[in-house]
Amino acid sequence: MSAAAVPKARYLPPKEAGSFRQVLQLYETRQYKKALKVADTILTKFPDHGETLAMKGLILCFSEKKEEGHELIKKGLRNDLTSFICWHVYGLFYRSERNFEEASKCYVHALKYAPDNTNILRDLSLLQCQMRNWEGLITSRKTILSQKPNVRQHWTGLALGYHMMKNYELAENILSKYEETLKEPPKEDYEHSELLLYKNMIIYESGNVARALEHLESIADQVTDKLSVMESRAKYLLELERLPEATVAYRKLLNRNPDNKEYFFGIERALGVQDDVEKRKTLYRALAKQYKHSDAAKSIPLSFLSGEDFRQAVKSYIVDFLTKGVPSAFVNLKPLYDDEAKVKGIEDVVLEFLKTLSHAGNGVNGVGQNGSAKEKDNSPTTYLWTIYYLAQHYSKIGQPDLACEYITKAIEHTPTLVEVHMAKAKILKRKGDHVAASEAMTRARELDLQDRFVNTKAAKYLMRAGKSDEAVSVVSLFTKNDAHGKGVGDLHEMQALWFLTEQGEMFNRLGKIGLALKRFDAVKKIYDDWWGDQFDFHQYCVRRGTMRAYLGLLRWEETLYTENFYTRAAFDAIQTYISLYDTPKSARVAAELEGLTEEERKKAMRKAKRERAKQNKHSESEKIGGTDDDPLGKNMENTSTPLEDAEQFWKPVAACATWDQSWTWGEEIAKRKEQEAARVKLDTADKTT
Amino acid sequence: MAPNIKIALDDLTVNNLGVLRRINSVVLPTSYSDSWYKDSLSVGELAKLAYFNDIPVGAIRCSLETPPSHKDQTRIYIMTLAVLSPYRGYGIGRKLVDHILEQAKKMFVKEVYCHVWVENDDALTWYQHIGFEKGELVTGYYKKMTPAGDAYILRKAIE
Ligand SMILES: CC(C)(COP(=O)(O)OP(=O)(O)OC[C@H]1O[C@@H](n2cnc3c(N)ncnc32)[C@H](O)[C@@H]1OP(=O)(O)O)[C@@H](O)C(=O)NCCC(=O)NCCS
Repeated sequence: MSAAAVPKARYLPPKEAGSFRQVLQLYETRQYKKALKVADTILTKFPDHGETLAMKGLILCFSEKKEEGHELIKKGLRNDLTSFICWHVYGLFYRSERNFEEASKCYVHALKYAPDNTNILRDLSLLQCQMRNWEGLITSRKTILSQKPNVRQHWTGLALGYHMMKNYELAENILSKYEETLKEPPKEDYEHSELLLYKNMIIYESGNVARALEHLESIADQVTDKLSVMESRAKYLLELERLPEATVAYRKLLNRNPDNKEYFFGIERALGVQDDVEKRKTLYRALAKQYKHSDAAKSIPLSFLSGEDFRQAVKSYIVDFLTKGVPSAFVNLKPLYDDEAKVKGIEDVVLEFLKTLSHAGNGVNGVGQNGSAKEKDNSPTTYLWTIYYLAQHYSKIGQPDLACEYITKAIEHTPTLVEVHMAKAKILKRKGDHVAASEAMTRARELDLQDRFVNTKAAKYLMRAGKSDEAVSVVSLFTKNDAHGKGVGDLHEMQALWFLTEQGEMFNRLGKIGLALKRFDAVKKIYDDWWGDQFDFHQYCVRRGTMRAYLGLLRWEETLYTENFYTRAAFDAIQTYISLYDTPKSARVAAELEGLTEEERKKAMRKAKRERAKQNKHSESEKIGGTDDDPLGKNMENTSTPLEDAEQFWKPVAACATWDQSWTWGEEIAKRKEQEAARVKLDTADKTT
Repeated sequence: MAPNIKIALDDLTVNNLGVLRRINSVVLPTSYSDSWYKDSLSVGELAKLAYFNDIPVGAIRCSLETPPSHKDQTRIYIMTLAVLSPYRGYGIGRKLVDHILEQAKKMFVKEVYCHVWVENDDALTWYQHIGFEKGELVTGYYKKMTPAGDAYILRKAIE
């Protein structure tokens, strides 16, 4: 920029101008203390110099003095509204606050006064990715590319924009043009290989599978990720109905990994047998023979066989598990439980098998006269795993009493097996007996104190039983603990969603509304963090050329807020806020006092006061350390805007493409907001008349 | 023999102490105090758990008795030995006792012994079957029983 263009307020004499450049340099190299000193020397002479004020503010923000810093940034900007530096600084401030929307507005302003500034353009392009503003991204990427056409990431960055706008042709063209700029394509180069695969993905997504296959074959030699070439080839061949070739391709994949169900489904379709049970049966019989250790080859047929065929297949499958003592037998078969006939088949098979076993329970004592068990043909564990299976089976199909009977037998048989106690806990939990369930889970935990999984379950069950402090003590055996020996703070830090959700729900049941809201909010913060965390990848992935992984990330983020843990906590929070709105505190108190005599009223008030005192007496385990000025969530509970607060939880869900239309929370909130608006209107009308 | 049976011993630790508790409490008539269990962690190789296909099913817990006088010999006393009933007859009890006998040898201890209730025929035969000798009768040894129970000493000398 020429000196003549510098407005008067921005002008600094050469000495100070030099100092200002020094400030920028020191900031870049994170020498914040020195930078502040230099900035102050400028400000003693030119206290209103906008750019210096803004820079000082920014540095203060990064030195833990955010509020003061923010004020200075604003002041700086007010003093020099046409400075791209001031706007850029303001954008950086918002970005550090993860307020991406405001940040990108600032960058757009900054670009008005410095349209070619690469740094700002690059920063803006990252924000555009974050905001999914693909049109904007194309514009900024085009400018960047025209400035520096020799850098690969600028090409991929632009291609990304077109790809996301579903302009596959241009996306592909951009990548081809980049390839043309290379004199010789690099060999055995991972980043280049990823770029080629990205291009292939674009061609495939454009819908032209034939060309995608052609392109795939042309790049196959240069690609380092051989497996993904094989998988894409098989998929394309199948889609193109070049079946014999597809069969060969899937065979090759199965030879590499005979446990991938997708490959089995692929070969079924390649052979055209997917709709013919008899042919499928024959195919899987052959496959199971060929891939002896493959679970998939044996378990897939269970899903399509029926009648006697199913019985035979499931028999050998289950009996094998039970004699080998695979604790997860039931988990593997659970998917079949949607089908009643299958459930009956499984039940018959297992009961029959049980009859063949010799054990103390069916009158055949295990130990012979001389005390030796050696001639027995089955091990006691086979019996154990069989009744353990039946217990889970009956619990699953809604027969808790039979389930209890079997699990009690299993516990009598081997009271040292962690799994049987866990199963008992689960059965009792399903029955709704949370206290007994938690006792059973505790008995499981006592057998193996270093098993983190059981520890977690035990804590969860304690919370279900309302035993808040005990739960915290148990879970704290595996956390970094604060001065009180409690790990609640650490569980926040470790983003233990299960814990936060369970504890929140427990607080809700115990009537500790503030704490409940506090935990639901903590869950939301974690998800917001994950949403924000992708920011770093917009730059990193494009620079490293890992576009396929990056797209996976972008697509995962699109569904982020519909994940179970988020929706569970969010809906809990929304429900809580709605009931706060529906029955505000004053109404709750009034309802209780209605129709009472003066004496009773006083008594009730005293009682309420005692209850409040009790509720306010929070044990240490509920608080978390740190600088939180509302550790018990009182402010949340006493909110004057419950509907708006609820909306904060709902908005991100509704913004996901994957949200389930049967979720009605959005309507529930909207309905009440309308009522509220109508009421306010009425109120003001009343006042004016 | 039934196929695929694997029997192994492992150390008693603070994390699996609950297993010793559980086995003793379901197999043995006597109950032991918390401090007794805590002390079990300090006897080293003289307390062991036995596993059947990775499931803990048996346990032994002994103590080293150093007598007040030099003239008497140091002995190992088997305080509890128990195998869950479905897992008896697979050589687990023997394996646990053998382990103790081996320790005795290493420690130059000359005798391993225990008390068995006179009415517990199974245990009496069993100890003799694996080479212990029936010794003197101690009347009223089980004080908590009503009436107090008598016990035999069973001992094995170590060469
Ligand atoms: C006594 C006890 C520990 C034996 O454990 P176990 O694992 O079944 O014994 P083993 O399998 O190692 O038996 C070893 C040998 O004794 C034999 N045997 C087992 N039980 C027997 C009995 N009741 N009578 C005679 N011999 C017996 C076995 O056949 C085996 O013989 P072999 O090795 O010559 O083939 C177990 O039965 C038990 O816990 N009993 C209840 C508790 C108790 O009484 N403890 C002792 C008092 S402290």
